[in-house]
Amino acid sequence: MPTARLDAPWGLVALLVLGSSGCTSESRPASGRNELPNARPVPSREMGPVERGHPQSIVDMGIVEDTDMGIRPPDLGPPPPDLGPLPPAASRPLQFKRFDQLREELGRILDLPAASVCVELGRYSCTDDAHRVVLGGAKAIGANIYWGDSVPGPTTPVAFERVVLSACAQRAQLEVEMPPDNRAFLVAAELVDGGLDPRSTGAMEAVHRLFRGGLLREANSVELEAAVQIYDEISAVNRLDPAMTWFQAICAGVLSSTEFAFY
Amino acid sequence: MAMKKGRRQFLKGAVAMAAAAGVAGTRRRQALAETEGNERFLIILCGLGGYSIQDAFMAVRVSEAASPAELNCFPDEFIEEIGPFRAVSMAPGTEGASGYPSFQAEFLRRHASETTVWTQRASSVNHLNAQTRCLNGDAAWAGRTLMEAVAAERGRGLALPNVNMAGSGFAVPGTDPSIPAYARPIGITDPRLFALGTHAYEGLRPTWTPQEVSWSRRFRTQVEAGRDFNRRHRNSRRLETWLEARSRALDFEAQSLISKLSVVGESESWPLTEYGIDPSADLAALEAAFPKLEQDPTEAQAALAFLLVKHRASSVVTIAPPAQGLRGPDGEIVIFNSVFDAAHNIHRPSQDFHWSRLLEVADGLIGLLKSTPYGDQGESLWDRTVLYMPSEFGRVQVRYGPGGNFGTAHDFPGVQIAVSPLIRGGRIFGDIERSQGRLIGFEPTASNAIDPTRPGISEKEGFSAMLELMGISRAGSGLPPADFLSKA
Repeated sequence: MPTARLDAPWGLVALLVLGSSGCTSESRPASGRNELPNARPVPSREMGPVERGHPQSIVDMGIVEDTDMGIRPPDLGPPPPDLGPLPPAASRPLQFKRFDQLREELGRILDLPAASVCVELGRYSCTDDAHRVVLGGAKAIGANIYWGDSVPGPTTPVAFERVVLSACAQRAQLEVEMPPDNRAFLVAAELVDGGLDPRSTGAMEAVHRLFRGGLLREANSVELEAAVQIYDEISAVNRLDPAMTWFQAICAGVLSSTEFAFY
Repeated sequence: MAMKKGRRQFLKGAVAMAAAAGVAGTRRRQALAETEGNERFLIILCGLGGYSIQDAFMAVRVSEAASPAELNCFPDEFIEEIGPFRAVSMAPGTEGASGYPSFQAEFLRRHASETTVWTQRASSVNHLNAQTRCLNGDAAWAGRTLMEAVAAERGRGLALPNVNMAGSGFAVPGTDPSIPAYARPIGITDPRLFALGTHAYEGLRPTWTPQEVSWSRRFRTQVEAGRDFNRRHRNSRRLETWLEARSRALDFEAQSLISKLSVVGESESWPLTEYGIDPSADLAALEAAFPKLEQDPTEAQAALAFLLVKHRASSVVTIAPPAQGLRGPDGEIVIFNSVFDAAHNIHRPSQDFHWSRLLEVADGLIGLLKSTPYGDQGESLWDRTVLYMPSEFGRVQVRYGPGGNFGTAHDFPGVQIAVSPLIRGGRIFGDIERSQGRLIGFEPTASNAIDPTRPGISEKEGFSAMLELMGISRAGSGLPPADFLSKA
């Protein structure tokens, strides 16, 4: 079957001709060029403020109206029948935390200055410079990368974990060097010769705090038991500072998990 | 009871993690074995901004121009013929000369027999659109880029199949959802820092030992297994991609890419040894090939491109100068602002300068690849590589007066260049009508006869020809045949 092909200038001419012919004029609303049947006039700056009382929505204009707030204006008659509970909201695609979200969240959770969460060679910010684009960021100035990539690349999980390991190691060092009152996690844990009792309330509370900060939930019994297991393994080979090693391992385990990385 | 369950799950997690690492390694070895001896590498060195071939390999002499004062043409003595190509070398002090020694003739003397130029018409004169389209053939194959198509077939099993250090439209990922995750581009904005991101813990302060990281990862496995997050979101492509990448990462971490891909030497700005990172064993060779490696990001990119290919980390690497102008330590120009597009204001100096720089970087890369053996049959890596040098569009050739100071706009007609031992080299496909400086097209199959009805082949045909050259199956793609680049 032969196919018709219109080169650009002839296509334009054809459109103009068709546009002025009778075959399309009937379908056009008689009242105006851009007006659809039953359409409300669209408010604009030239037209002045939105007329109150119309069921204008946020979607229309970005202006919050009474109906959006659940308040029905009095002149709209009886309320519609109750259609039952709303269906669940449509699920949104999972997204991984980008460079800036990661930096800020680790800083908040681990009580570290965001700028020092991870610094390569003591000079280059992991999140803002070294791994920014790999971690979903854009870099218009200097690199002409105008859009971040929402799909993780082959090195994204590694770079993500690297930032987390850096932050957790810093926090772990602070936890064992600080007096208990100045700690953020091992507040109630008793440190003796670099070690602790992983079954103690203080150690469990530290694990819970990590889970609450990173995953917005408590650790469950299996996770708590796994944390104890890790400590037993660590203390069997590391007699100098098992508490610090344990804390940083638990911290990085939680904060490099997919549950933390995605939202 | 809870305790027993916990131990069991913990052990399961440890076993799963070890298995994942093992599977990733095995997969890689299998994939590499399949391609052993049949590898091809693609390096794309972009002529950012729109280069003018009439200022290089297809230059026009004053004696050939119908109206020399109104056409971009050169005094006859500035043009040398080498094979089918021309090289421009302006005398120092000539109006419009950049002052940078021309490398055009030297490049052609070394590589003319492996160089091919073909006329190709851009479908847009907007930088971003034209750059994107020259690398995806104007979305000719479901929106996949040339790099993705090559990496999908030739990059399976490699650590970093498709690396992209360019910007703007040259860095835009394709839109074909059927492209496997491993073939998607890995964006790199600073080649000197990239290697650090290939390892989760080497070079960090405070330090982590492999055993400590292993404990952390085992606990992570437990957290992920216990909460069931991954199973609940198993339909998420992003999560699937993440988990796949994570399992592959264990393997390439073991390859020590953090050292192998390092393109900088020890210095105050790069205290590698202080952070326990070994510099690349190839550093001396890199510095010899790219003497401006410290100043010009394009040379640092090219150095990393070589290392990625040498260590079989990548099958495709894309590089391009940054668009922002750069000056060296003595105030000398390293990169014109907007690179070839500085031609809007100062056509001739910017084209003169960046043609030489583009070709110098290409020559450095070719030299390194030639000096690296491939297999034990006397081949080098260069024998397996295609160096593609695209530009988004050409430039208008009109000037308003006989002088060397004029500006030019973007134009649809342009050319593309590729250099490789695998190519039908020493050829110009298409032609130029010299009295007007006008490019002429050709038939991309069979006869390759001149086609005066158009200024060049389409982006789609050029895309198809590059895929053919790279040995990529185009079955079911709907792409037009175009085999002019491939040796019979």
